[in-house]
Order: sequence, then C-alpha cells, then structure tokens
Amino acid sequence: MSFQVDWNAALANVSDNRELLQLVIDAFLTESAQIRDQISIAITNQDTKQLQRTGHTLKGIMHSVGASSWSHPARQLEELGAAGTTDGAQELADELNRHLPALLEQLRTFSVEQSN
Amino acid sequence: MSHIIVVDDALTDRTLISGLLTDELECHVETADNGESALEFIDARRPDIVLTDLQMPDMDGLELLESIKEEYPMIPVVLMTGRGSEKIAAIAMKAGATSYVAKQRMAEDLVSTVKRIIAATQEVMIPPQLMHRLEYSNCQFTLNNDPGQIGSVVAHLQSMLRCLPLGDESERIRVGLALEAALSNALFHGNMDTSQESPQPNEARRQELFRKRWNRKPWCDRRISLTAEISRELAKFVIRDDGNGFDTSALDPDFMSLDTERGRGLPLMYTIMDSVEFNDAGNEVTLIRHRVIEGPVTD
Repeated sequence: MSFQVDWNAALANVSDNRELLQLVIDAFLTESAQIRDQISIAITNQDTKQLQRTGHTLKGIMHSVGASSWSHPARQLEELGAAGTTDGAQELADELNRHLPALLEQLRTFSVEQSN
Repeated sequence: MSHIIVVDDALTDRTLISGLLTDELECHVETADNGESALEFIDARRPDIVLTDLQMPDMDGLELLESIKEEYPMIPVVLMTGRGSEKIAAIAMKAGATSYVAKQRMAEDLVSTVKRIIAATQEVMIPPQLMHRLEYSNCQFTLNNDPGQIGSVVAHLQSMLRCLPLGDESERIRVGLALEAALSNALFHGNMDTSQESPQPNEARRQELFRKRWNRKPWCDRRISLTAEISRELAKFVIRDDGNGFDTSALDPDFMSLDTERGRGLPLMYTIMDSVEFNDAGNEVTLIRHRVIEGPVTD
C-alpha cells in the first residue's frame, strides 16, 4: 500500500496559503507522535473513550494536511472506541505505525522545501 | 478589531483555524486546548466570539457551550464539527450554539460565518433602546436576487427582534442567522435553481451559477417575498421564492444529524426556530420563534 498526500486538498484547506500549510504541517509533525502515544496508552488501559477521541482527532488532522487516504485505521479506532471495545485496536495501531512514517516523510519534504 | 478565542485540543487544527481567520479578517485570535482553559480566557478577556471543537478531553465542547451560555450569554459560540460529531452538534445547536462550521469545509465556510456574526453583533442602524419599546410590527418585503439585500433586511429585522424576549442577546443573533439561512436558500436553491444541479454544487460552484444566472431569464425575473410579524410574543417569518420548489417529503423533521453535504441552511433553521413548515410545493417556508420567558414583559 502506497499513499500520496493530496496536495490539492491540503492547499484547498488553507485557501492556497502555502505558508499557512507549512505551519499546519509542522503542527501535525509535532502532534502526530503525541497522538500515537495516546492511542497506545488508550489500548493498554482499555480506555475506549480516549481511544474514540484520539482516533477522531487523528482522522481529523490527517484530513487537514491532505492525508485523508491514510486515515482509515484512525477512523476504525474511533469506531471501536465508540462501540466500547478495544478488541482489534492493537492491529489497527500497528497498521498506523507501519504507514505513518511514509506520510511524515512526505510532509517533512514539503516543509523543508517551503523553508528553502 | 474583533477578539476571537479558538478552542480545540488538536494543535494542527488550532494552527489551521487561527491562520484562516488572521489571513482574512482583522482580528486577534487566541487559542485554548481545552474547555477549562477557554473559560479562564473568556473570564479574563471577554472575547467577541468563541469557536470550539466538540470532542475534547475533560470538558467537551457541549459542556463549554453550556458554561458560556450560563456565565456569558452575550458571547456567540460557533461549533466546529468533525465527521462523526453530527449528532452531538445538533444537540449543541439546540442548546444555544450560534452556528456551526464543518471541519472539512473550514476554508469555505469559516471566515464568512464569523464575518456574519461579527456584523450581527455590531449593527448600530437603529438605537437599540427604541426597539425594546416596539409592541408589534408586520411588514412585507419583495427582494431582488441580491445577497446584499438579504444582509440588510436581516440586520433590520434582527434589530426589531429586541422587543421579543428570547433569553439573551446571542439568541437574537441565532434567529437572525436562521432567517438569513432561509433567505439564502430562497435565493440560491429557489430562484437560482442551484439545487437542480447534480451532484449538489459546492459553494464555489453555487457562486459561479449565481453569477451566470442573476441577470438572465427566467432567473432575473424571480423575486423573494418576505413577510415578518414581530411582537412581544413571537416572531413569524414567511419566505417565498419563485423557483421550482423541492421535495419536502425527503426532509428529516428532527434534524438530529447536521448533514454537511446538503448545506447548513436547513439544519440552522430546524435547530434554532421553534417551528419550520414548508408548503407542498417547497417554495415557501414559515419560521416561528416564540418568546422564552413566562410572565408579564418588563422593561
């Protein structure tokens, strides 16, 4: 599976303001690591409310940076949490952790190019 | 300069929303990452508008809204709703949120929504004290297909609504937004036939259709009729367009889901007004909002 950031969608989200997109991407790069940790903690603690909320947040911010096509596991984590279970959550978290580095790399590349 | 507080637990979305606002509006934006911090900000700074996410840890957006309505009823609250939050957003609209913006449509809807609310809070056309003395008014307007006329007539009627006890100032603004939504539907979906398009057009496409049609037949001959009856007991608005109407049997009368794909007009009307009734043809809507306090009216 190989996804690409939808840069048209990402730029549309910021009204074509590339400087703002860079700020949004930098925020995502900072925040996504924290959210991955929160998902991991939610699974360990079987905290379905936190799982639902963090899945929802990750899905939303992926949309903000044009990465909706990557957000399927996040949406499924949100749905599991909403259904009151963490069964299957670890597999989804593993799937996220496998694919997220490629997304972060694409976003970092944009951020570096924009800085230059 | 307007002062806006953005409340969202996601740093990415706080950055996005603040950037969109400061890029296009003359405003000062502060951010909070949870409801409790937001309340501290509000207490210290008294912002003009609060924009809040719904799903947050500890104090969520609905709880924040209830606290603001309790402590600072003059401050308009706009919800920012993500996919999956539609039901709770409908509950929050019923609980008194001024308006809402779908997160997936921030770039299209955020700034225009905030602009409308700022304009509504700053209207100074008629001395407000005079409108508190108004007992009864019944007026009829025939509007051209001019979005500017809609803004003007809504500002005028919103000022008259001061005579109707609605609980607090933000409720008057909410009724004005519902009226504006109904008039905009009459203009774009009704007279300009944008609802006949398939798939449903986005805002940019709707504006493009409007620019093409507003001065061409048959669209240019169509008008919007508005009857407004305002007293100390109720506000009743009847809005009729000259378009082809729509299939009203498909409407969800409870509007427990804020369906962002179909636009925000109908959900705003249904969640803010006490009664929303369409005629069979679907080209006339009657909106009613009653006073909210019991007992004799005092000055």
